[in-house]
Amino acid sequence: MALLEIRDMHTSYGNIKAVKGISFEVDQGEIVTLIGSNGAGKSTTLNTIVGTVPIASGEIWFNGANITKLPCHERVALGIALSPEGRQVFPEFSVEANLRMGAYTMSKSELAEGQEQAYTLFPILKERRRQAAGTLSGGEQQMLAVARALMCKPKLLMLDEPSLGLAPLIVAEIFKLIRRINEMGTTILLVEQNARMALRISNRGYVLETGNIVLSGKGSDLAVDEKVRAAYLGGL
Amino acid sequence: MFRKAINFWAKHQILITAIFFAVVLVYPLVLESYYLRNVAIQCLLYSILSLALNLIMGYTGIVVLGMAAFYGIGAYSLAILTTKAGFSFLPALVCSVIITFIAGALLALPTLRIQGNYLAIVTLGFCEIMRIVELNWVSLTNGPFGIKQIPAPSLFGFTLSQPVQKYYLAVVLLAIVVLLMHNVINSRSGRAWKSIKSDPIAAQAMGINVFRYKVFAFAICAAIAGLAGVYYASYIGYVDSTTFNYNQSIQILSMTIMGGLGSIPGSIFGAIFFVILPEFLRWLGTFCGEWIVEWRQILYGLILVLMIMFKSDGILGGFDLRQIHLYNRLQEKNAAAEEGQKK
Repeated sequence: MALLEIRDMHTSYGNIKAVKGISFEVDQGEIVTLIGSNGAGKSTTLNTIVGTVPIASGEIWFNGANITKLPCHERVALGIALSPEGRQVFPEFSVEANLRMGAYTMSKSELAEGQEQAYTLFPILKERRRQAAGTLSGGEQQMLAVARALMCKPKLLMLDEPSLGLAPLIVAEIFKLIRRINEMGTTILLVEQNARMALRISNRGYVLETGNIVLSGKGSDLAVDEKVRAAYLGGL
Repeated sequence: MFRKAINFWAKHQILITAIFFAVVLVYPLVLESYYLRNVAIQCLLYSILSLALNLIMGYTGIVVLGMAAFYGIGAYSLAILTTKAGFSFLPALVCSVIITFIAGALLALPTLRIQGNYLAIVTLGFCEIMRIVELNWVSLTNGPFGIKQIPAPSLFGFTLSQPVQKYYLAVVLLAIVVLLMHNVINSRSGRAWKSIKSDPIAAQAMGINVFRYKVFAFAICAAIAGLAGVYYASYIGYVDSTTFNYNQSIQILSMTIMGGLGSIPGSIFGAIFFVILPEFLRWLGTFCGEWIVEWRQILYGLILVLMIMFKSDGILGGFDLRQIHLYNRLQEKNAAAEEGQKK
């Protein structure tokens, strides 16, 4: 049984239809990537799954339960975490307070445990734990955003463009960490414009185009697919 | 110079707070003038109101233009409960605070669907509606005549009729509000509020029930303003609807904004500043002529413009004394370490 199953999901902002009936699933333990150009509806898909954007029609199933009608905070409590696009950390909060916010739905002992784990995964954050998050570098903020999303021990971690605006070396580091988090047992749904990197670490991928899924398959297959190469991998 | 003062304050935070409290406690004993005590009581009263607004505006990020409505509900509740229902002071106080808490929540439930400026306008409208209700519900509020002969506050059979006693009651209430706010803000709920102000979408994605926390913030803000209203009614002994109008709301708003959003000392500072300024100018007027009193409004405008230009988050807003203290200590440590290395 799939951990996350999307059935014919539509999402719109007013009159503009951003997602036009997509269906896909994410199995336990997988890394799944949604790739697509700007405006394809990738971020909207993630936001709809976590519930910050209302769904127009369709169904979302998580862990065998229909969560379509649940409010956002209850979905988070069920184990869906989103690290939003553009590193939305709370800039005036300290690193530690940011992590604490991530563990908002957890008990105190779990908070300590999560913090421990975050600091082992991201040692740099421990060094900076009292610093205001807004003063961190871009890469550090991205790490904090991922660490914060991990704090609630999600079954499904959704990452929205974790490589956005980061130097290539840092990007490689981030992807290494994503893989490591996956190996520790967290299922990952990834949205990326950096399709090459994303497909390399993914089990499966879906290609979105103007709100529709046009292609799907194994990560390695998509990476060599002619159309994908032409459109997203710079024709190499 | 401002930076230096703040650094100094951050370093000696406990001492400065202690001195402030000492001054507040000794003040009425040293200065026996009825007038000066009255001004001080106004300062304390507006500090409570300004803190209440800061809780919702400075920490949760919701602009409320109708604080006077809650202030009025608190005052009228106490007036009606003590003069018509025969309650004594303390139970009436508790009931009034509960009533304003509920009023705040009830206003929040339908209105939080709208956001930002629209919400601010709705609270402004609510303030006006409350004023008109207070003016026209004659059987309950005596309409334009107001409610007279509200008994002075009394605690456990002891009536606080002297201004000094009332002054200390205000000090106690303010201390309770400050302690309450300090604790709430550094609690789980406080962090939830601050995160909502910082980024509502991200807060939601953290699993925070944004709507519930906003309603809660509204209700607590209303309850604190209600407490100020309770104090006002029993202190003056008379309430009528003209006190709780639009101007009152704006006055409170100016105090909170000028003092500093998201700062407890800021709110108190703002309140003291705006209460004392007209009194000070009036005093000045006895030396250099009445014109200065008439120029007061221009001075207000000038202050507001300067504030917006140079420090839009208020005099004491936008920084955290504890953070500054930690930062300065770190700097000193680093400097000391460097010194050590040189040697």
